[in-house]
Amino acid sequence: MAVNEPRAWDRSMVDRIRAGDDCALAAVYDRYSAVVHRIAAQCLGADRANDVTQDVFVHLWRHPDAYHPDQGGLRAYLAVIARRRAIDTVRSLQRREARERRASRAECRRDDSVEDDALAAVSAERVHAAVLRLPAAQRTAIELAYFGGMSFRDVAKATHTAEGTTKSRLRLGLGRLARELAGQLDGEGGEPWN
Amino acid sequence: MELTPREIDQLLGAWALGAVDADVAERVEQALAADPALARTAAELRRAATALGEAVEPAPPDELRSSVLAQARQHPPTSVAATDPIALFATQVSALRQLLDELTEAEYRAPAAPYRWTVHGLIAHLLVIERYAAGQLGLAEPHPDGSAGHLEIGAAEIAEQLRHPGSRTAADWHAAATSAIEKIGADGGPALDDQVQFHNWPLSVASLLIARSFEVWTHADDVRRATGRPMVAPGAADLRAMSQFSVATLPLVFPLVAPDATFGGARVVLTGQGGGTADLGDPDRRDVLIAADVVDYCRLAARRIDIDDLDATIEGDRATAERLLAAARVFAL
Repeated sequence: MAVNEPRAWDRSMVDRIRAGDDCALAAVYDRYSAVVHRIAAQCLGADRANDVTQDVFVHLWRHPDAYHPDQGGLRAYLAVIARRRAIDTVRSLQRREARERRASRAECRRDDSVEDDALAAVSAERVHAAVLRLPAAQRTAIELAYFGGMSFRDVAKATHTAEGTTKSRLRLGLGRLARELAGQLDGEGGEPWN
Repeated sequence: MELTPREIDQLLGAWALGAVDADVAERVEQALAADPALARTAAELRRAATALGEAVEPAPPDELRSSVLAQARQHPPTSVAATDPIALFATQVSALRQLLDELTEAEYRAPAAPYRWTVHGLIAHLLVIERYAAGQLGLAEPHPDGSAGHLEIGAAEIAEQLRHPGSRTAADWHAAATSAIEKIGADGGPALDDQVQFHNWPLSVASLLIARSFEVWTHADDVRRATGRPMVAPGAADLRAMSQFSVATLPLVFPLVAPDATFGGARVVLTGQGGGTADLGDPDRRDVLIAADVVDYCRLAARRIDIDDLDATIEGDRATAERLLAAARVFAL
């Protein structure tokens, strides 16, 4: 079975989940739990992010037919579910603890789309040196696409940029990252970006 | 719309980040399949995207994984209920009868691969098997040719049927099959858990009906192929019954195909409507996992797909997987 490409792998795993194979759920969890957990943690903090992460994967297990491979990758789908669950959780907390949660409420009102939080989380990561060395436009495009789970068309809209320009930024930026990361992995050091 | 090589190259970054729509991803992936140099570039970009994720996404706590899987196991997905064996056989008989009613006499004379028979001969063979099965079930006198093999039994009867129109043989077969369906499970008839011999296989009546359903469905597809019609998969509940039966027999049949090997444990995952997951053998051992489409698996079990042609995912011991898949084909007589 040709499962090397991500989309084929996603489809294969969800087919197996639909058949009741918890090994497939474990494989999906291993591949995508980090991004789900991070998205939840941005809004809720690590402890409550665990609950959302569990909720997201149990949702996939119980409702695999809700995922439509033709509409996008499983990673993006799970990211959307995580985002919605996290926002729902915050709103619930806000209703219960209005005063104490004033700060959270303000944060999450900003966050109906997660890109601002994604950007904040990304910039906080100490391991982002390679990303931070990218030209700003390329960095923003990659962060929105990768951490925000946005399509390049959504990135273009969000950054008020032509789609062709956005594609080029993603291509060039990721190419630079590829060279730098390859250098790090190979112990060769990265080439200077500027 | 076709994408130019330049457009494909420009899209590679977005593709590697999973930031393209499904149709665009498909076109990019088609281009990559045709261009090894481009595919190498794409792989480098994908590696960068993956490394990016690994570098900045702290893994959730280990215990969360166990918790997710434990919760999932407590709530297995609901699967389609399997058709009961009598209804299953009746459905397959009805489907074949409907197909046969469409055939012209010229179509009855079409060769029916993989057999030496025509379509007419194949239906005559089914009629003979129906009469043999009735004898084994105690619904009729034992077939006089009962010790012959499945494909050899009733050669004279088949030759006699070929002297008549195909539609007449079809009507005789259908009458024999529906007579059996009416009597099984009825007062005085064989019960589903009664044991019978079928070509020297000891089977329950329920198992016999499921095995016969496999045969009737497979021959219906043989007729469709022979007459230029598209093949038809059984409904989900019928597939569930057939595949469950086949998979459950694998550990029992395994020693027949691998007398020198010991079967430990395996998981078989059949995807698609009517599929399901079965853990076989030692619950503490899982030497191999086999995942395949349920219809493909049933066609493999019916010997209409070769093992090498089955589009399956195999994780673990490949030798055991191949033995299990060989075991799946043992009941196809």
